[in-house]
Amino acid sequence: MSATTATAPQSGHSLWQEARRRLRRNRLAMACLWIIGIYTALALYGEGVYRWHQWRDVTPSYQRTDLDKQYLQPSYLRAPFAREQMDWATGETYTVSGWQRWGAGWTRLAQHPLGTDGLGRDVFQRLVQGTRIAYQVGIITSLIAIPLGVLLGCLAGYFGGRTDDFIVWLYSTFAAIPGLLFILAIAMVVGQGLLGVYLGIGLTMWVGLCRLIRGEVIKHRDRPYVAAARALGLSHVRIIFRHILPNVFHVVIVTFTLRFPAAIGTEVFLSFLGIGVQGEPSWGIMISNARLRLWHGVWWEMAFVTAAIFFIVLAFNLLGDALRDALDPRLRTEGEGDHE
Amino acid sequence: MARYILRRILQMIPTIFGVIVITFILFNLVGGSPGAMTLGHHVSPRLLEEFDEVRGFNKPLLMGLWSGTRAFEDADFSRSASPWQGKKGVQRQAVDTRSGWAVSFAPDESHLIPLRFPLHPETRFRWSFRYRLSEGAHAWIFPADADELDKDAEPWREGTPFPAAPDWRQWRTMIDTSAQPDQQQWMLYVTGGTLEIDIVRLQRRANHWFDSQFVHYLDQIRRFDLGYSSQTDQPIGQMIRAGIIPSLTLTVPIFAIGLVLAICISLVCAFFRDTWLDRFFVVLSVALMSINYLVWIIVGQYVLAFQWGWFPVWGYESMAYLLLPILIGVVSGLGTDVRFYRTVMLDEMYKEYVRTAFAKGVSRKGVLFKHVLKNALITVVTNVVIAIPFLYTGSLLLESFFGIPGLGYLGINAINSSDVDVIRAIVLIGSVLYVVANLFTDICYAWVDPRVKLT
Amino acid sequence: MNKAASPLIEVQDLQVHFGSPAQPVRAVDGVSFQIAPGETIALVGESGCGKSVTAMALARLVPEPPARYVGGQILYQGRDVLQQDEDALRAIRGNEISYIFQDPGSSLNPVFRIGYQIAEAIELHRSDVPTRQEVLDLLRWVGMPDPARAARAYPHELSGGMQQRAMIAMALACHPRLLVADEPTTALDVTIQAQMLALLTRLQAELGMAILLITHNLGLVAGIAERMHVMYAGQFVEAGPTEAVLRAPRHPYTRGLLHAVPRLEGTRERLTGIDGMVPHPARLPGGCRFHPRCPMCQTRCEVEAPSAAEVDDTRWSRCHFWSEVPPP
Ligand SMILES: Nc1ncnc2c1ncn2[C@@H]1O[C@H](COP(=O)(O)OP(=O)(O)O)[C@@H](O)[C@H]1O
Ligand SMILES: [Mg+2]
Repeated sequence: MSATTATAPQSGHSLWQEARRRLRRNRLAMACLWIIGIYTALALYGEGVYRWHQWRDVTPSYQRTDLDKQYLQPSYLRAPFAREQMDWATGETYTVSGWQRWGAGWTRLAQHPLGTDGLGRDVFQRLVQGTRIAYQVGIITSLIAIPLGVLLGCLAGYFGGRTDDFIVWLYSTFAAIPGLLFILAIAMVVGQGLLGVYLGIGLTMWVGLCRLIRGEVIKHRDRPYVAAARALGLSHVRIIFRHILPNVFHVVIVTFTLRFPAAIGTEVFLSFLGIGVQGEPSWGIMISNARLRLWHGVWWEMAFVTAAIFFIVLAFNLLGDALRDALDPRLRTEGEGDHE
Repeated sequence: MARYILRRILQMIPTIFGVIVITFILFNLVGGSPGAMTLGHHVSPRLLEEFDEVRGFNKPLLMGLWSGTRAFEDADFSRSASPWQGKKGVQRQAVDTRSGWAVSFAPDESHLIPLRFPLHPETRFRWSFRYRLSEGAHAWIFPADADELDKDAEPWREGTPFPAAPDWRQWRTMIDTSAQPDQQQWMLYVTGGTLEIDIVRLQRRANHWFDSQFVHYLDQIRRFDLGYSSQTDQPIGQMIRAGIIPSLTLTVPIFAIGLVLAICISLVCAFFRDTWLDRFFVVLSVALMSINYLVWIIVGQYVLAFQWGWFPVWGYESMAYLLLPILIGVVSGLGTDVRFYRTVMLDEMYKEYVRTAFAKGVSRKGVLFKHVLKNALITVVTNVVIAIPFLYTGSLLLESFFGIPGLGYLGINAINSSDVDVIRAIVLIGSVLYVVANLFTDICYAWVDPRVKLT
Repeated sequence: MNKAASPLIEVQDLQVHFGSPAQPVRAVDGVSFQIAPGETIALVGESGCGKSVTAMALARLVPEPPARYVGGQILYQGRDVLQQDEDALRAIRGNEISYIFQDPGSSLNPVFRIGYQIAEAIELHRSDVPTRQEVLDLLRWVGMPDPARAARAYPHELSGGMQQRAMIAMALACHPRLLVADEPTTALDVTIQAQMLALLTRLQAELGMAILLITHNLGLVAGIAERMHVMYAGQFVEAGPTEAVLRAPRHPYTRGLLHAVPRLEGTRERLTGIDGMVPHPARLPGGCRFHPRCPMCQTRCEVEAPSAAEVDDTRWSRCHFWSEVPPP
């Protein structure tokens, strides 16, 4: 409530502290942070598993097929009804009581808590790997888009003039190209595999960020504290990155949180189409496989993948909203409405 | 007004040019060989060359006279003596050049330069070499056919000699442009020592300096010629025209129904803001948003169409076939839209003019449906106009899942079969539409918001 | 003055809270006053001390949620505003009690023409007059140079002063008995402020309405208000006839206000006469709410909240040591 507008909001301390206080009080946001934390831990665990198998040079356990264990349904999802079963050795049929089946299922629970897929591969482990890939995509695309967007946005906003004209031209050009098709085209041109996915998403994601940052920097450019820094003879680079950037950095945080789930969604989409990851259990590939089995009544693989994607995207969306409200409510109506 | 529009149209030119450049860079430069992308990496170089020849992909990129040809792939001697692999009198050896390897040709013999396929008869070619001659050696390149070579006639004397360097250890470059359009075969003749070649390259000559891929591309665009699909050999313009109608029959209802629903729900939220109803819709919309689009389609198709049989599963025969895709499209997009419009409405609800209206004695309904809605419409209208280009691209997944032969289906097929020209055409048209829609957005803005003047 | 006659509006122990019941933000915390017909009352205090919320509460205009009317009564002509239903309230708003706000630029709806917005106020409450003609008459009445053109204009096409005149025309469209003017001049140029006040006094004389003038500018108060109330942290700290209060304040806060040179910084005023800032109503200090900033603070002030002490039969002060407050 203090009149910070005229004084230098140098470190932006109060803003961050205030935001942290508000976030702390927001129970929903804290829950989201916990969910994200769990997913992050799973992704790191998945990375460990992946590395370990690579180092040992063996087939990872999540790729190991076991035709004896096809379509194992987690027993807690199974109704305890009796069922006829056939003894393969003698050819006789006998009845297994519902509770027997149910109990037998529980013993397998530790082995395959989420059941197995059509090749007898453990669904849980594959989901963990999917998490790893989703994080990889989210982080690497951000690593492409954020520096690009921040740098160009700062340059355009700070220097104005020709630089601004050029950068505005550049991003309006990128913005004009239909997003999903552009991503697909980049991925196609670069070739199958994750590189195309990274580049495709990264090269389209910076546009929105650049526009927001540019707007914010323009607002700050004429503030007294920037004039003071200039009067002190500080270099442009220093003014931009040490003085202005910390004051507009919340835009980056909010954009990151809201774009992360979008990147995950796009990765799922690309992998589903077969353009993304090859030969690794990404969520998109799992959906693509589970889709075929769905028609045979194997629904749990689909359900678990859906749930896995749902919760991480939900957590990021809610957290992003909370962050945006805590850090900068003005961002609310910007950068939205560009879905499919 | 007219001047404003004129100025904006002029401003559109750089953006459209930018899109052209980006698509050019993407498909012609980054992609390397569109031929290989389309036909696959294992087809014969000759097929690729023909593909490129038809589509102009073998011209220089931006400008210039000379460009590469696949007839003699630029040889990389660091791995093998490839074109001369196993040929008599040719040896690969380590030398002090950048690649570290060269091939050397034994003296008093003529060596054929093997080509992968006969050259295009009407085109001129040139050879360039980085080479050195051992002391006292002489070498020529000359047009001839190995079968009809008459050694006694010393035909190499008609060809181009490799100039000798004062110091034989020095590497030199020679470009031989003497080849005539009808020449098909070349040979090297060496005498008095060896010829070592580090780099050798065959290039074709374009018709003029600006006979380039980029100019060709611009020219195509100027003529509204979108080329031919490499998959079906149909004109792309025709394919797109055929695809627009199915796409629009799908996307326009989705968009319209979704918009009306979203605005209605967001008005309800604004009216009952901070009550359980509002919170219910907020939670619902975030949940809807977080369900993956693929899942909507797959599960919708499986459950509603296949298991329960409420809708046809696949096809495009009557209106009934569109119902399920429209339903899925509306539901999957609803979360985002409701959230967006609710924010817009609520932002307006906290404006000071709302307080004034209440202070005047206007009812809650009056405030919401008159004062707030008219202000919110500014955002709504601009948002609607800018979304119009996306109607054209159709819905990639819905169309391919439900077999609706629209542009989305076309796009997915093109991606799957690497049909570069089709993708490029769809992207290009989509971008142009977007830029035009941007102009209309600004005009609409001025139309609905009295504060904005077009100057 | 004519306090003995039945008051136009009588507020008793009004409490308006924000936030959750567990952690209430006590924006208005036990405020009582009354306004007689035709009287001008001033409400002064720093930004954030609850003036606007008090004023808006008079017609139950503070939106609920987030606000909660926790206690008290607002008797308008003997009937409690807080007990009435929405329709009855709407019949009062703009008709009996009208408002003008600080920033006419954002208080007018940007997408409707001025004429339409005034006409709306007329049509809501009066069916006896031809609307178009009445709009033009009103605009002429508030001194708009070209009423016909102004009626056709959108808000942004007018200057700040003209916008405020349009706001006043809208507020007075139904000849209200009480006009609440919430910092009507703060956002305007100094030269226009005087014009605006002159206009208000003229219109008041013609209509015979009461005015509740909210301001942090004591200079304004001296000219027009008969009585003034000084507000601090959701409570009145001093009340009395304007002249007497200004001449000999009986609360250190009032004295501080008098010493203060109000300085505009954006829209947020800061008073250099008193150290520190108004406490946020969610974190009110114990004892006397003013004690952390009070130059006369004693130990008693830190523990015991003062109650209203009669200074004489026209004024009171909420200070333990009201008799010791030095003259300004
Ligand atoms: N909508 C609201 N939500 C929460 N708190 C509010 C709201 N409106 C006002 N308040 C609180 O009420 C206090 C008094 O506000 P206000 O009456 O506007 O002060 P002023 O005296 O400047 O007019 C403020 O400090 C603020 O904390
Ligand atoms: Mg106020």
